[in-house]
Amino acid sequence: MHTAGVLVGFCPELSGRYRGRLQEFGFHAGETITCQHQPGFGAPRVYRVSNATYSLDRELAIQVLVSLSGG
Amino acid sequence: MSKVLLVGTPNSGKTALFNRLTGLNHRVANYPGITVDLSIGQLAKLPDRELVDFPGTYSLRPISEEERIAVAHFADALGDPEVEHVLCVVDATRLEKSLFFCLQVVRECRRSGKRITVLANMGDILARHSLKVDAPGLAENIGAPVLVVSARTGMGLAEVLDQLASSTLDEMAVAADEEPMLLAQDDESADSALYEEAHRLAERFGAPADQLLLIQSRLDRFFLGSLSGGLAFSLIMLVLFQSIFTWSAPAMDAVERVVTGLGRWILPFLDQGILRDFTADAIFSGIGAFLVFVPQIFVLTFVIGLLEDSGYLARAALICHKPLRFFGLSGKSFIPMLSGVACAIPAIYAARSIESPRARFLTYLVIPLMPCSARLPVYTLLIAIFIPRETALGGLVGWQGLTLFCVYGLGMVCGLLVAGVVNRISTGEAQMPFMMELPAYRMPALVPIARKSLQRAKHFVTKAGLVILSVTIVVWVLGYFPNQGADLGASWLGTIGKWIEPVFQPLGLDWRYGVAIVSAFLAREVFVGTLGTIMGIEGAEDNILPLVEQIQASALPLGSGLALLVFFAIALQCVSTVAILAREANSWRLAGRMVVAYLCIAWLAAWATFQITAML
Repeated sequence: MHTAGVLVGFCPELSGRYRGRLQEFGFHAGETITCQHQPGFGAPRVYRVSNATYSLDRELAIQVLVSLSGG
Repeated sequence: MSKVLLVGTPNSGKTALFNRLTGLNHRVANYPGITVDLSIGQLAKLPDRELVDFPGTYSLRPISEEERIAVAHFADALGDPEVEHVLCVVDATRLEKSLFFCLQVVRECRRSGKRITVLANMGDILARHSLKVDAPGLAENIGAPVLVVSARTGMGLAEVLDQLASSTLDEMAVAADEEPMLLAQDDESADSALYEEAHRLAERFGAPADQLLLIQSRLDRFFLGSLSGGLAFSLIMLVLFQSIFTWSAPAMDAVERVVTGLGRWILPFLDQGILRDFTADAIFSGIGAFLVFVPQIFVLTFVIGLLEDSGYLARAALICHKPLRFFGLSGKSFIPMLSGVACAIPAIYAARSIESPRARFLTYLVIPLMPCSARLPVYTLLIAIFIPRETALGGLVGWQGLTLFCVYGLGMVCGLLVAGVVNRISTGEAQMPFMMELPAYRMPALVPIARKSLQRAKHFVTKAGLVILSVTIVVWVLGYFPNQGADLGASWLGTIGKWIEPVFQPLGLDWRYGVAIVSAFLAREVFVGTLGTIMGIEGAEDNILPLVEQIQASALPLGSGLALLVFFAIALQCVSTVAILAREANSWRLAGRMVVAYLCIAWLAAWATFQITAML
């Protein structure tokens, strides 16, 4: 956990309205995204973006493209 | 009366601010055909101004139906000449999240010539951690006054009132159509420019929140952990259940005593006859049975309010997401389902928070199958009749308790199965991906939550009460005429009971049970009282023992008793639930279909139970 990466974009398949909502949440290119928690019971992971934390399910999270820090 | 609009993103503390500014002296405006509430109240210190609270939305570009409706109302309101000021609430601890929406609102207000003030809420939290927002710098850059406030402590609210009372229009507010109509350009470049602007402003003028997030992260490690999170979840749910069934019990008893006492006081003043019978049976018995549940609604809303305000509810939804997703539901379906264990009506209201129309629709299907407390008197009677008070495993397990547990489980399992099947066979809009903001943990504000719970209980009485009163009168008239209540069997209700007797005969039940089941459409618990009346036992709802003995003596087969249990676990009989469901889902068709489908499933399951029991 606490893996950080820099957002580089979104999958082209991601619907415009969800991309828009993620951007409203603060998911912009160049923004650092940190995976804060992997909750129990297979629950969606928790990510920190800017000053807020969000939970995104896997099918949405895999459409957010990040470049891992240091790699 | 001039109006002030209150808008903001979810979790920005907007409603708390509304309550502070109005003293929660508000009415709820339910617009036809939608599931969005606008709260309207007079400003406590400026009584000539009306404050209109809009549902929280992340953007003026909505993604869900509810947001679309809220945004449409906002657009309409901007065109209303009575609207003179807009208060846009942003979360001062998470500025970037709110700023995108805020910039959209500022631009729309400028275009419409409306005054706008930005309220950076939760200033008390920043102050506690020696952090601050650069309000003057932000105001200069966004072109609107920015005030740092706290809905919780009242900090900065005097300045807000000064701002509202000031009649001088800001120069910036009347720039009107000179600005490019950004929102009219439905293109991504406009949005991108706004995102970048929000990001830049938050970085430059916002407060660094690392310290705040560190506390949240530590708590999340506990509440979301596999072991600790599971234990905490179980414990919190246990407390919630305890509150539904135990904490509200004294208040429920008190309401019952008041209703009974009122009846005893008023009835002697009435002469024998139709008016007295109506007052006793329809008003005090019918409405009284319904009012008893009001404390339960209050307690449940209060405890859920505490969980919500503390920030835990979002975590509970998160933990439940994956298991519920299997049935097409969402983690956000969890709380409505849980509320349904007390009463389906607040549960249906609670489903509003589910953004995904599909998951909300499936949640509507599940809620009536949750074992609501109105079923409890019926279960208690039937279990007392058919299940011995014996124990097994050295006294560890009582058969009656085990049966009750199984009947409760049956409703829940049926609910999940119905959702799972409908999800697989139905077409339509696909599930929305799960994305949820995790709010910061905080100490719940008790007074506003108590006020909100009181409001909900009042709403329950005024809205559902009207429906129940209407149906009570109809059922009473059917049961009273044409023989003035002398013989229920010979009444119109009795005639209907005999007419429908063939429906219940395959379950081993005669017309008397048919009538009791039909009367239970008023409210499930009416079943016990009706059966008592038919069997000639008065006060059966208060003391079921004579009724238990009489039914046992009538040699009603065990299979019929179990069939009744199964029938009540599944059938959608509560008219107030149906009415609220139709209103919230904006579809009488859906509510009607659910009534028919659940009655058919209930009957088939009851018939199968009767047949299987007969074979054993």
